[in-house]
Amino acid sequence: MLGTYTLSYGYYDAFYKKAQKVRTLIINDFKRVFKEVDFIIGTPSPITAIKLGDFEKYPFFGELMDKFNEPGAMAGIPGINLPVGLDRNGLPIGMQLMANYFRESDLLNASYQFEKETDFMGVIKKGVKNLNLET
Amino acid sequence: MKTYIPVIGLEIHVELKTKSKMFCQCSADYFGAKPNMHVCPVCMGMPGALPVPNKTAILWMQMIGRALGCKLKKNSKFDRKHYSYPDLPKGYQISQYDEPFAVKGKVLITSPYLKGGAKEFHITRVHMEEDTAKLIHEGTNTLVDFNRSSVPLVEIVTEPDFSDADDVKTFLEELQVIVRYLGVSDADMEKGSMRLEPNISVRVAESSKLKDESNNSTFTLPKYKVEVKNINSFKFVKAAIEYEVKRQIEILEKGELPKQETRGYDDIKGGTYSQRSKEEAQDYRYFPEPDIPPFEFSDEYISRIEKSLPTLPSTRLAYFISSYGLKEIDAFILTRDKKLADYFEMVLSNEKMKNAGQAVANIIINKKIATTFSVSEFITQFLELTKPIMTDTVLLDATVKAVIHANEKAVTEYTNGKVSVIMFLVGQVMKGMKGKADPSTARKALEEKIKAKS
Repeated sequence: MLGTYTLSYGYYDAFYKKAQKVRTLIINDFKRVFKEVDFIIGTPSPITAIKLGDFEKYPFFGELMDKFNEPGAMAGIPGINLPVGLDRNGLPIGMQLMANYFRESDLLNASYQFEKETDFMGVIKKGVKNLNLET
Repeated sequence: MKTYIPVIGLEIHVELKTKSKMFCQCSADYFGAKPNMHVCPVCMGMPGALPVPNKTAILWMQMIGRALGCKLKKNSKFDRKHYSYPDLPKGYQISQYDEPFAVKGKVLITSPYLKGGAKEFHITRVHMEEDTAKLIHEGTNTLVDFNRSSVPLVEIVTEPDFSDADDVKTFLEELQVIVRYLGVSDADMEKGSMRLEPNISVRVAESSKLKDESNNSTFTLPKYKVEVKNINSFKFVKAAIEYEVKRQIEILEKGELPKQETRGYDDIKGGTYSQRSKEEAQDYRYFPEPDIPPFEFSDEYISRIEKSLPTLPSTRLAYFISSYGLKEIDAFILTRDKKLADYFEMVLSNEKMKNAGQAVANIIINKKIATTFSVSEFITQFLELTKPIMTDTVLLDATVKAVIHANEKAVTEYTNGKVSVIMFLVGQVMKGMKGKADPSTARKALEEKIKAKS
């Protein structure tokens, strides 16, 4: 519906065209940053896992959860999400790694190194055990 | 007394005869095929299916553009044109909005059927799009056949240069010949591979002088236009346009403005009827097709297209008249079909056929020798047919004597100066010789004998 609205007669310039311009600003922002760094580290989602069905409590749940993934998607740069640990309640916390265009192999390399340096699989096993997910 | 002049611009769709469809690999050959046999997720508009442009279709479209004198754009893109209809599976048609592949062309048409012999028509743009599925109405049901969905379609838009239904027909016929010369489409109106939608308005002549009507750039465009659909054959073109112009003049005479709308032509009832009005006009919500990256063509690619074009019909027509000495109407007939024009030139290229242009043309057009024969067989038959007849001089002598004796009055008229009578006498000799005489030999013999007598 939003797509139809923003493309409708009289709204194209105010919304669609404007949005395309904002997207260029995002692209340029990443370009500027990647002159100085190889990777950007951040969190992939604002919260850890919530109970099944709890999403109904949150309007715009999808949009809120996507907040940290959208800039990379808008710009079209590669990214990867990795598990890094558990919170107090044993729920998983993740990390996202973003890199410049066509640097996918660097991302995969860094992820592999990270996996070797940290107890990557151990954390996952612990989380599974804590939540009694083993059958 | 007001003079009304029609203002007509054309939208013509030409279906390309590529092997596969515009955005998928399904066969594009749908005419007569069993319904829904040439389909896939892409041309059925299923979720997740992505379009891949057909390179040949784009090239052929650019050839059409270039043949119509257009400028081929270096940069171009596809756009989505949104509307809901059962024959449009994605809910949008992949088309071109503001950056078509070809723009601003012109066609100079020379034709014995054009008033004034030659006229130039201007092309606004030529762009690429996909065809819709076919709706088949059976009683109260409507069936959808997706074999035609996404077949490559070229849209040609002309400037409102036409003021006459005959000019429209001439232009369409020339376009059909051009497209067939290029080998990119059958351009058959009856089969739907060429479709016409004229946009028709009528203006009041701005001066009492009879102005040259082809100079349409100097008048103000009427404040409305009516689009006419469903003209399925050349013979309906004239009827539809004339009906619509008459209908609009009647409204204008009342001091009213015709409604801006889309009307359909009904050949059975013989007129146009309203389909859609301006109030219900669609907002197509165009935006660039995000699944297809924009195009950038190299200068080399574009110049290669120019070089690859065959000699176009109007050029060939002029050449046939000047180089082979043909009458305009005969040159016109021979150049309507590229294969026929090629055949003619191959026959004429033989050293035995020098200056036989008009004679060969007559024989081909009057179907005296079939063009299904090989070129060499044709030449053999031609030489046989046009061989001067060996005249039996003894019989000729006797026959001439007999004819002069039997036609004293005619001979007297001839000697008194009525030279044309000789043709009658030649005819009588030919009759007496049962055709086994060369007419010019017979004529000479007659003239000599008559002279000798007097």
